[in-house]
Amino acid sequence: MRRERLAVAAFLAVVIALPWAVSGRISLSVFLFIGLNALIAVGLSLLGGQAGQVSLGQAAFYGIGAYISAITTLRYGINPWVGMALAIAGAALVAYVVGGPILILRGHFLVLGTLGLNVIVDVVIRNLQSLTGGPSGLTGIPPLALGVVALRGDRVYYYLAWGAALAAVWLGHNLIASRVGRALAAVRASEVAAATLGINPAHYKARTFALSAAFAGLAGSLYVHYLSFVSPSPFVFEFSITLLVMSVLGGIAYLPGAVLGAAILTVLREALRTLLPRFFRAGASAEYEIIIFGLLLAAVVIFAPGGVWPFVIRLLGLGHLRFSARPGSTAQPPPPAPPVPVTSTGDQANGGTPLLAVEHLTKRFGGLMAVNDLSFSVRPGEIYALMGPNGAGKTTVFNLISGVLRPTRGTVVLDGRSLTHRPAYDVAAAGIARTFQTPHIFADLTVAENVMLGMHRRLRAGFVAAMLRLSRREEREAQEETLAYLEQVGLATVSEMLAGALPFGAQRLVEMARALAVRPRLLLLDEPASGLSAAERAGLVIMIRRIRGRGVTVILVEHDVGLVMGLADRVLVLNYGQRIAEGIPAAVRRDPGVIGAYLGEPA
Amino acid sequence: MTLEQQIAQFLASGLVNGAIYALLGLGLVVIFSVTRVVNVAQGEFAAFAALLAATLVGRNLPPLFAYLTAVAAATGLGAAMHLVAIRPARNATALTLLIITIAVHLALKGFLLLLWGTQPYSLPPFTVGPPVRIAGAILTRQSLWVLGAVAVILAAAYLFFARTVYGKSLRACAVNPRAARLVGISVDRMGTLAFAVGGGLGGIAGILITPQTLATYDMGLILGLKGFVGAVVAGMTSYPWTVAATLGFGVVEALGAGLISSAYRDGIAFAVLVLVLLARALRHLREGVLIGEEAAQE
Repeated sequence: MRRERLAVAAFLAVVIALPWAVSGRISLSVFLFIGLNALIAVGLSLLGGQAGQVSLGQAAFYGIGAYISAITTLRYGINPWVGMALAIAGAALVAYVVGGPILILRGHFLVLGTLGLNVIVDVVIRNLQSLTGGPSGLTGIPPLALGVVALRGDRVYYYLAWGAALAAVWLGHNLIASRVGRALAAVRASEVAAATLGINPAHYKARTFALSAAFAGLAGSLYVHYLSFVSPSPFVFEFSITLLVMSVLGGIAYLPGAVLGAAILTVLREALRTLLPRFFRAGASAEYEIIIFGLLLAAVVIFAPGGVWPFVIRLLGLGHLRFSARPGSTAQPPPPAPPVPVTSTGDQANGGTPLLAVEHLTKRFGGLMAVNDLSFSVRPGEIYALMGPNGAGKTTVFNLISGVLRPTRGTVVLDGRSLTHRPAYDVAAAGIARTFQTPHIFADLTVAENVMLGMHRRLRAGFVAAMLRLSRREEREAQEETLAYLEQVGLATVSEMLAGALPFGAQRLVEMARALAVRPRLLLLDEPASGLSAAERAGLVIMIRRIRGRGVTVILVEHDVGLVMGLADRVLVLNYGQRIAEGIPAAVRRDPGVIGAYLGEPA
Repeated sequence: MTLEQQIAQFLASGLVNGAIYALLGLGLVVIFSVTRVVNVAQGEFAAFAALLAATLVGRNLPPLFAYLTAVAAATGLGAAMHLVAIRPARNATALTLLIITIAVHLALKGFLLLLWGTQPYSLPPFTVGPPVRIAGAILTRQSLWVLGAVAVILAAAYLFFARTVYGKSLRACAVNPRAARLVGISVDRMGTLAFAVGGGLGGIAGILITPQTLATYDMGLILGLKGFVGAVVAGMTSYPWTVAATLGFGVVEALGAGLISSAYRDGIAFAVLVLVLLARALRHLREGVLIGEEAAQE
């Protein structure tokens, strides 16, 4: 790690010394603009690399910040620092109000929404003459000041811009390595799996978007106080594309890559502004510039999708400077006590009020009745099995209970509390955890991080705490608890491995440990034994019994009849979405309707 | 003009513009439903066909020949875009594919600029003659051509999707790519076909609109986005709803620009886009579902 620290120190020394080194033909303002562009591009990289979303409207937020600072200080005489705070808040607010709802939609609607927003902002700035000065803009914007000392000149704003950009990298880096960063990684990989762990995908995407807009707003504010002049032209949609090229060119997954991309493109832009007019008609050179950026973007995405940054760190031998989500391998001794207190035992399985009550549950997919007027209830501490031929609707029942699907009709009640029509992340928070038929593990995260995601709702750190590293104690405790869950499933030794590198059976166990980390009252296991060896199945049976022994109620979907008969307290058999039998295993096994469903209609 | 006459005029010109947007919206939906790619470069097909047709007409070739050649070229451009830029990256994330289409948009715009420069080009109206008065609105003959041509194309598209093997295969890929593959449909080839259809529809839109508004190398983005508004309203899946929504959007845009201010025309258009996205999202919220049926079947 010494080499990495040395590299960071050397880089900072260059940044600090640069204003005293440049002179003559190279203007410091170019480096200043690298800083401003880097600040915006870092936000875009957080949004793209972490939240998996693209904005083509960052220039609009840059503009919103610029005009809020200009108008508040010039027209209303507000202190520039207060104006700057308003600029940051204003840009973030617009992003949150517009992006928040759009990000509820899955897919990439944000791109078109932000593109539209950029056009709207541009049109409004140009036409709202009385406030913005229209196309000719505003002049005479006061500089920032410290007390009575006005801050003027290239050097001061160079340091402010670079200070802000590097602070953004640091804050973003902290964010990625936190509870929030894990949640974003989960959302990126599978919104469904993330939601079943209690994570609201839209919430995290919208906040990341607002954060990226805040960085752009700050850049806009610095911009107007530096130039003391503002006009609409820098905030057009084309500049949004340029910003996107910066962050993709540097490597959208790496925050320092955004700084690198900003540096390359800002310098390239300056060079093209000098060179292009020599080759083309003067008026069109700005257009040719955007085309060159377009070809550059295409080339990077097709030939080096990871961007330039990975090449740079390889070249300099700085392998550890990845600025990604891996926590250090700080293996702690596992605590001896089980994390879930024993509240009941299997003996209670034959009495008591139901923990889960499902009534008249119905799900129609077009003309297909996947689940048809199904009612059943599960008692606390019970192991309850759902069986039935393929297509009987078992997994759909799980999806309906866990909030992944919305029922056409019917209710789901957990311990007296209605969960009907609640989204999956609320269902998880209410105490229902699940696994999937094909494990939905987060392959790019470590085993420990996967399990820590199960604890998401019990940990507290939000965006601010995460960025300022105020959550380290909580993280340490969570890591310790994680090991306890991994011990339960026998995976403590591989906690720092990437989950995607594990064999299939182990991935199922990671998913199980993650579900246990939710500390559920009810655990839904979807075909936990499929794909496991005979030995692994035997281990699974013991594990499920042990989980029940800790007071967790279990519902499982399983095809392995022998396993179900030996394990379940009661069995519900479905066919074509309807109940055909329910009862203790021995009775269900003799039921003529069940035999008919599996072997064909009885004579 | 009385207010009623004005409104009749806005309604009529809105419908004409909406008919153009419908072709772009349909192209976007065909491409999206088969390949899951939101094609930011959709409008470039229109710009390319319009500029090419203008050049061919300028060389004194028969207009009909010029138009057919230009539409064929736009169709080829669509297929080429899929083969060169999308297909090699078909296993990439949706985010990467999206960035690729942004890059293609910029690159195509660049080639249009290199070949045609910044000046506007025009095409002659399909037939000459005085404007026609219908229900209080005055419509140019070209407007009638636009409405008639779009109606014919929509009928043809309906027959294509409902009756032909290729049309049905495209729909199959949209509904369930894996099942389509199992019955022997090449999803890759259907992707190329979808892009070709999208390119052709875009090309026709470009040629229909140019006699009214002139063609420039950078006309594509705004056009494509206006098609996108309708496509989003229709949920990016339904062809008939996309047509209805783009027509409605054309009318709203014309009314907004006419009654408020034409300086805000594009602003209004995109305000509608943002509002539509918000409305869709709020409907999701009200229904309390964050994760739809499609997601559950991942």
